[in-house]
Amino acid sequence: MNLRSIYWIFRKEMSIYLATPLAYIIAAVFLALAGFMFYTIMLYFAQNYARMAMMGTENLDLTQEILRPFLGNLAFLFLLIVPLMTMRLLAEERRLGTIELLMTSPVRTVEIVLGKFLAGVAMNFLIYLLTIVFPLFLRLYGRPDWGPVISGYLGVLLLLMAFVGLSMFASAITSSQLVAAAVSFGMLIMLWIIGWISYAQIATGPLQRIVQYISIVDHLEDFYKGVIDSQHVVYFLSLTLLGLTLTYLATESHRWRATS
Amino acid sequence: MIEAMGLTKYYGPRAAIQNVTFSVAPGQIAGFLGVNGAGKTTTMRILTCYLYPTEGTARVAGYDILSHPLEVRRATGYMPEHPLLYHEMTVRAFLRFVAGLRGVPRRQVADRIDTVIQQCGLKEVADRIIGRLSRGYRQRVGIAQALIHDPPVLILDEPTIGLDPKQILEIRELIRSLRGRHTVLLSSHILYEVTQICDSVVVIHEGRIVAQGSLEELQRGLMAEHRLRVRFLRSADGLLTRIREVPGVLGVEALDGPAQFVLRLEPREEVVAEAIRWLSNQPWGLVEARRETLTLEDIFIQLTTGRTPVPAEEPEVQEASV
Repeated sequence: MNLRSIYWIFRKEMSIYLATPLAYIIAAVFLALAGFMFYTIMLYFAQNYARMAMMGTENLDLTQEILRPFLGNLAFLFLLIVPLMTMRLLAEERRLGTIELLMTSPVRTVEIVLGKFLAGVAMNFLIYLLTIVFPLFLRLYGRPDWGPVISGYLGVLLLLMAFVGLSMFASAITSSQLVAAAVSFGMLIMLWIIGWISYAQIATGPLQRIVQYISIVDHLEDFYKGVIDSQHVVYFLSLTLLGLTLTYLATESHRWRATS
Repeated sequence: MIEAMGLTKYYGPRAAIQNVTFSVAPGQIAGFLGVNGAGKTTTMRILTCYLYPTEGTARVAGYDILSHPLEVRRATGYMPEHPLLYHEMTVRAFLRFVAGLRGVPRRQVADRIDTVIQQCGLKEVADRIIGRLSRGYRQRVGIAQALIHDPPVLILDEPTIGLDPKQILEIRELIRSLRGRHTVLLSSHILYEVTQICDSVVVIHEGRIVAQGSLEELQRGLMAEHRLRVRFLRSADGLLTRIREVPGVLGVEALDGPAQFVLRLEPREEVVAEAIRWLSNQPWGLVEARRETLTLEDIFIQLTTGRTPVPAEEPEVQEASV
């Protein structure tokens, strides 16, 4: 594998992200929503705090009461953001035909996929990192516990890797950005809600455990608590690898394609 | 330098190309000629390792396309039919990106970019956004990106398509300037263009190679006779009968003008030389002797339809009666 090729693909994708309005608009919308969430959670916390203070207990933890629900809700927004940020990566190359330029250059398909993947993760994570202002804001008025904050961001980074990997596959199988986005919405939301089936008592026993394992939500909880469990790291990395492998196969298979 | 060996590509049950075999010698400009849909683009995509062939293989710059695709691509500059450019980049940024992809050493990148900008006449648009350039300029950016890593082999798919006449001339001039330093395979459905630029021609029709060689070879191979058009200073009685005595003559046709004839000769160069010598030794004053050759159009029509060619712009011929 040639790191230089990956770097050039990465650099090109980043420059397109930064040169087109989509990323800025998404970042602005995201921050507005995040601000609103933070505000409502703060209000709720303030009311609770006042009630608790009257009862004489003030042991409310800023991190657990504010940051944990806040970070969890933010991750949910990426169900919508990642497909929008990722849909262009391969579908647009196919629509414009520029994929031919990449695939006739001395660059391996793996390098193309990885370069684009890294750019997608970097851009999504940059947007997410903008929310660091909210924990910093808390720092002005209290003493948040930085451990869970850091592990929470790490968890979301892993989540974004899995999301981007899977969304890239959706982008690799079509030349329409809209189709790519629709397919990846479906995949990601399914991963999010698949755990619901266990509430219905339909899946029990081993099946329930499998469904529970596939479901994304349960794997994030520990990170918000400040626990970095290798089991969850492995889960997200395997999803990422699955997405990237499918993306690679979909892209490379075009060399063998049987239609003009 | 380019050697296609039995390339076959099926799209479903339909063969886009079948048993395509041809070669291009180093430093030559070869024209890849065929009507739209004949299989030119498919062949070029296989040669550039964008597609895999169903059967057969090819060697480009000494590397096999199946076993060494990266080396082939490193040695090849490719301009697809519609130049594939990132419209939001400036010309310079785009060339820098492509130079990076093609592995131009970091220290030489700036140099190479300046060179191809110069070579392709892109100086005044180097810092403009590609999406805002005219078609002619985009086409040149397409050639510039193919040249950026100074590859021994260039594969250009319809480089002049959709350009206005002035732009076409400029692009042709540019391609001609590559002769000797690069081996070029360029596809075209414009016959005239191929005769203007190329050293040799590969003709593809319905997915099969129907002819290849230099233009002269193609003409020679297809002509059953040589036609020599002659004009004399003055007419004379019995001229036609005397002309029939020219060694190697198969027939004589009198043309409209005074003392003008077409001699049909055996298809050998020596016969033509001998005929001209014989005619010029006669007292009628030979003022013009001109070979009528098949144009590429004639050759092409014959190859693709099987019809015998009639030399171009043939004026009305009357059988002379003396």
